Amino acid sequence: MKTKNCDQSFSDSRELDGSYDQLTDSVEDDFELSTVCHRPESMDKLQEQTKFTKKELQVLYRGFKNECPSGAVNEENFKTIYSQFFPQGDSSMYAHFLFEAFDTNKNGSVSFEDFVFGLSIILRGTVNDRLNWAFNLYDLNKDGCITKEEMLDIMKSIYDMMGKYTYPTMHDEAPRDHVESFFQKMDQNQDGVVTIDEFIESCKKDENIMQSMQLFENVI
Amino acid sequence: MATGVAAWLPFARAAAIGWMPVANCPMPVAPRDNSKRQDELIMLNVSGRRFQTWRTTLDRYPDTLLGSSEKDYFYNEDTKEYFFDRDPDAFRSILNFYRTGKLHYPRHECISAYDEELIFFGIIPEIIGDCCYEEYKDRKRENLERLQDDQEENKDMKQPNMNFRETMWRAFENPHTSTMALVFYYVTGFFIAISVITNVIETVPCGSTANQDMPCGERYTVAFFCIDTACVMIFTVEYLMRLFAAPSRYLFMRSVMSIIDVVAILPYYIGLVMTNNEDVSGAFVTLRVFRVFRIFKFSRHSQGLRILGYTLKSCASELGFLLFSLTMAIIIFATVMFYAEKGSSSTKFTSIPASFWYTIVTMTTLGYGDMVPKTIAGKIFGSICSLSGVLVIALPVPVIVSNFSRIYHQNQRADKRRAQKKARLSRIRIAKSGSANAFILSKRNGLLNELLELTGTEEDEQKLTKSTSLIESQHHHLLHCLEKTTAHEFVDEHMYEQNCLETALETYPSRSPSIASHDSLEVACCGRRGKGNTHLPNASLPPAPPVPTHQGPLQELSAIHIQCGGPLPHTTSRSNLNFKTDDGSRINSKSGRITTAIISLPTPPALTPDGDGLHGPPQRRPPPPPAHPAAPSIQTTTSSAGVNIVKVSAL
Repeated sequence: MKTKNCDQSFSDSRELDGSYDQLTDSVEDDFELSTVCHRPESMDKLQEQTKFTKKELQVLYRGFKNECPSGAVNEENFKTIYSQFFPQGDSSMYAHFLFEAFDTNKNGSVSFEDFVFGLSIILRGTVNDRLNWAFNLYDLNKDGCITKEEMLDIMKSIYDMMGKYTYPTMHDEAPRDHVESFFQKMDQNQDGVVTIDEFIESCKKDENIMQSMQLFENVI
Repeated sequence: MATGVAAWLPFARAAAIGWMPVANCPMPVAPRDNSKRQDELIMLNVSGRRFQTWRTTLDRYPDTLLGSSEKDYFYNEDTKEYFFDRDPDAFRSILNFYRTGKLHYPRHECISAYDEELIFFGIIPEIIGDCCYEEYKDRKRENLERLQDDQEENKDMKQPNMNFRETMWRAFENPHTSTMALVFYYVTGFFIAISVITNVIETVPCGSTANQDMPCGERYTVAFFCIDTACVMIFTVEYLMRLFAAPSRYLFMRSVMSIIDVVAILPYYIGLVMTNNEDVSGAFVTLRVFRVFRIFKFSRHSQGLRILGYTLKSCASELGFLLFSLTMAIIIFATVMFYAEKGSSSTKFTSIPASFWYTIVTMTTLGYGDMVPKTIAGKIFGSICSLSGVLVIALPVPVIVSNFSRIYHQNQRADKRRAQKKARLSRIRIAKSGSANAFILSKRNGLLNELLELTGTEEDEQKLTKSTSLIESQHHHLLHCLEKTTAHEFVDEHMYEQNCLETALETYPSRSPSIASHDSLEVACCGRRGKGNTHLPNASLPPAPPVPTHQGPLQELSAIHIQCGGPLPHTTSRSNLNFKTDDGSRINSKSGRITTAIISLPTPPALTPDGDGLHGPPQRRPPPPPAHPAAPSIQTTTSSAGVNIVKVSAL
């Protein structure tokens, strides 16, 4: 009886907000999801599967669990965390793409294993691994090739993170122009899509990109 | 920055891999983490309770004490931990701030203690999380009010240099400050009451004359006119005096009370001017209504009335809501009743505005009965109307009541604080004077010790040697250095007032120890020493055999010192004062013989001749006349001085 009352008071305040719909079960659903606890595999196994040392895994897990006490991140949480690093712009789209890339088993949440696997590839993998991972990120429908539309979405999400206040002022065609130059560089047979081999080959030829890839050596 | 999610920064940097292939120019060089420290556990020892956390947790907020190198000052090499001598309970929330990024305010903590902890650890209180922010702000506001109240009370105290105008204003605002103000207060209150009563009685029919009942006002016109004139005179004078005394005349004229004053007296003057003109006599009669505003002048006299007025002002929104909802309901029901009663014959509900009266009377449950519905529909709607009236009125009223209660309790608390203020201030004063007196006592003891060394008797010396802590002795040494620097000495308050007295009364006819009681004398040079220090605390008296104060040796003393009189004026005065101290307080009860001994010394060792006299640095007194007689005065032990200076005799 008591719980009913406090649920009722909850719903009253929601009703006053202007919506006169019946209380849906969404509130309970949220509660359910957050009480699910996910435990990662043992450290030894993870150490075998990734290229991190035990200490690094400890540091990573502590940070992970601090933000997500339940052991798994859902997309909302993921977006919130990521947006704290980019206060000026809107990083939600890029975070969405990242989430898709990290969530390898497509169950809507990123567990610690997913997290660590992804990081292991990016930070400790070979150049090929990294480029593969990047390609996977760009290939939104995971069909093995990047179309101009997919690239445009990615580009827009990156530019969105900049926000409004930039120098020089951002004009609306900037992402599109950037996509054009990208395809210029990457699409060797000019068929309008970039396959994985074209991608890796073109990146290896580009000095700037190779140099940037070295940045990830010292992140942890 | 996203310090709360600092742990995810490596992830965010890794996620940047998505930008690399797209970028057209090379990336900047990444910062190197030169101090390749492994993340280590830091031990924080707060008053014995140990907390441990990772170094990186503390490093999240580098502009606080724990996050910066400032904590190295607290590092204990032996135990390899950081030791803080602070409250461990408050430290919990501070450490949690580092861990979670949110600062919480524990409700059971005192607000000022918590603030102090925050300031110590370099955390600004503004970042308190939303969950606790309201509570924190409320408590902080209460604290501020308390402090402000204290300050205002201090302002109430009479400053020495108030001119006549300021004195008058102060008297007007706080009737308790002087008798004149109180008298004025009561007189004006009395006249307000008289004025209101005469206004009321004026309209009562008194005695029936030949044709009809006449109200008293018309029967005894002259008498009422005289009373009215007298009252208005008093009010005018009062208003003008307030206007004169107000520190800011413009503000005063705009204030509510002064407007009430003006409205109260204007009708009379307008009436004086306009008596002849017949046309406006109707308006003149209306003006008399405004005389009733005099009753509002009572709000200066009654705190409850002021609280009520303030409550209404602060509940303006609730009152507005009440009014609005009532208006809505009235219009609705009036319309309904009108149309319901339209059919019935000889109905009183002739129009919708005419139905307003019925609706109001019904909703407020008055029910005069001058208008009643006759049709069935009308009766049904009428009953609904009265039921809903109760509800509509009952809803905002508790809000107003709770507002009133809150303000009333606030006032009560303020009153209580004011009442306790005296006790509180005297506590503070005693504490302050305790430390000052300790110095003077120890000075005396030091000298006595030296004397005893000269005169012998080990036991006495042991008894007199008070065990002072190192801190005390260092503090006393410091005060001593100050004395030396300024060539003045700290003196006891009673001594000081006596000196004032003596310098004021230059002539000393008698040489016999006349016991002049200086109780009621407030000498001009001492200023108004309203409230003040109590007698010297005897608590720190070293045990000594009590020597009864007798007049005999003192008389001898006076004789002796008068002989030595002229050449050593300061010695004279010093011994004189000393002598007075003996008489006046019990502290030197033992030192009868020692006083004599002191006089026999060429100069007291510690005290080089100081030309001006024997007062602490804040006081300057003209040099005492060389030959004033010993005047053993009875000290007023509880003279109240506004200034907190403790003076004692030089020796």
